[in-house]
Amino acid sequence: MTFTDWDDERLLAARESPGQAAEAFTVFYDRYERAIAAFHMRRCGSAHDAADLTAETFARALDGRRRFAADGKDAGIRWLFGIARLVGLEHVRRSGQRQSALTKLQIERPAVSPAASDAMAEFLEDSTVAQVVEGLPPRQREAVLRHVIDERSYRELAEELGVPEPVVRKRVSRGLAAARRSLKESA
Amino acid sequence: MTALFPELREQLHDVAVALEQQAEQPSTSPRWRRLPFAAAITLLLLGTGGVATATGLKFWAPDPGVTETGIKRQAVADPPPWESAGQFEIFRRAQAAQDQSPQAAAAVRQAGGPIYSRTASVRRLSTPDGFEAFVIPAGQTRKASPSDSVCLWVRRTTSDSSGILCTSWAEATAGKLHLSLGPQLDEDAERARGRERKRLLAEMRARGDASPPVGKARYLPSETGFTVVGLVPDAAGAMTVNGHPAVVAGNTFTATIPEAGSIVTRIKAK
Repeated sequence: MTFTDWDDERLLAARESPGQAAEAFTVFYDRYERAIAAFHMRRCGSAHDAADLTAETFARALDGRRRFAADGKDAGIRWLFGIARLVGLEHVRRSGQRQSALTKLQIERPAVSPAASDAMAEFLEDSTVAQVVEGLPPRQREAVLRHVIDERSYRELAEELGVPEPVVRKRVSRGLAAARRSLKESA
Repeated sequence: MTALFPELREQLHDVAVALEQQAEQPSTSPRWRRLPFAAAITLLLLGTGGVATATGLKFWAPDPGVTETGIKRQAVADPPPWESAGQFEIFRRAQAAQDQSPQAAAAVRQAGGPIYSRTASVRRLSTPDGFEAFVIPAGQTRKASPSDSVCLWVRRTTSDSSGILCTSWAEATAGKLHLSLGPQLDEDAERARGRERKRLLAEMRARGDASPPVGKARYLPSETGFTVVGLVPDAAGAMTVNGHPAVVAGNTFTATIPEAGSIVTRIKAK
C-alpha cells in the first residue's frame, strides 16, 4: 500500500513517523492543492492572491499538524478547510497582525505560472470543488457548506435545520465522502 | 495531475523533512558549523558541484521515476554532502558522457527510495570486464542533508542481471556499500536440468511420491565464486572482503568470494 491509498487522517497522523511525515504531507498537499486554490480563487478573485493564500493555508497546516486531532470522520478535510477559511478571512480583513506561517517556515510565496494562472481562472467558471459541491444532493450540500465553510457545529446546524443532530452528522459525512470521491476521480 | 505550484510543493516537502529531522535530532547547530576549519576550507575549494558545471555538459536530468511509495521523484543538480562525497575522487572530477549513458538513466530509476536524485553527481565506476557500475547520490531534501544516501547499481553485462543498494554516506565511506553477484549460470546446463526435473516430477507424480529433490544450480565452468563490487574512498590502500584480498582501482573494489552470505570488509589506509 502506498501513501496515495491512505486517508487524510492517516496522512496527517504520520507527522510522528520518522521517514514518512514529509512524503505523507506531500500526498496530502497533492490531494487538496487544487481544491484549496479554487476555494481562495472563488473568494478573492485574484490568481496571485489565491496562490499566496493557498501557500499560507498549507504552511499553517504543515506547521500545525501536531495540533490536528482526528476527531471523527473527515476530520482532515474539515480541518484543512477550516484553516483555509481563517486565512481567507484574515486576507479580507487585511489584518496587519497576521502571523504568516510562510514567513515562519521561510517558504517563498509561489510564483504563478501562465498555466497555473489559466487553471485558476477556470476555477471561477468551472471549479472542480464548486462542481463537486454543487453536484451533491441539496440537503447534503447545505450541510457541507454550512458545517465546513461556515464552521457551524453539528448542534447549531441541527437547531437551524430543525432535524436531530445524528441526521446532520450523517448528511455532512455522506456529502464529504462523495466530494472526496469526486476529487480523487478528477485528480 | 501536475501541481499548480510545484515550487511550493517542493518547499513544503523540504520544510516537512527539516521539521522531521529537527524532531529526531534536537541539536540546532548546523552540521557545517561543527566542521573543522581545514574541512571547511576544503569544502569551499571543492565548491558545490561547480566542477561538473564547468565542463560545458548540460545538467543531465533523466526521469527518476517514482519512489517506492508512489511519490514522483525529481532530478536535481544540487550536490551531495561534500564532507563525505569529497572523499571520493569520482565526485571531484567533472561529470562525463560515460556518466550519462542510458544504463545510468536506468540505474537512476531504480534508486527509488529518496525523493531527490542528484543526477549531476551520478558517476560511472571503473569495473572489471563483464561488469558495469554507477553511483547515484540521493536525498530527501533538495539541498544536501545528513540524511542523504548514496546508491550503488551494478550490472553483469554478460547476463544483463543487475542489482542496486542504497545506504548512508557514513557506510559508504567505510567501504560498506557493495553488491555481490552470483556466478553466471550455464544456461544450456540449466535448461537440461529443468527438463530432467520435469521428467522426474512426472514419474514421481505417477507413483504418488513427494516432490523430487532440488538439484544444485549449474554455473559456467569459467565462473567461480561470487563477485563483490563496491565503493571505496580514496584513502583506502589494501582491502579484504571476508578475508579474501580485494582489488582496489580508483574508487571501486572487487573481490571474489566462494560463498554468498554476510560480507565483512576491512580497509587499510594508504
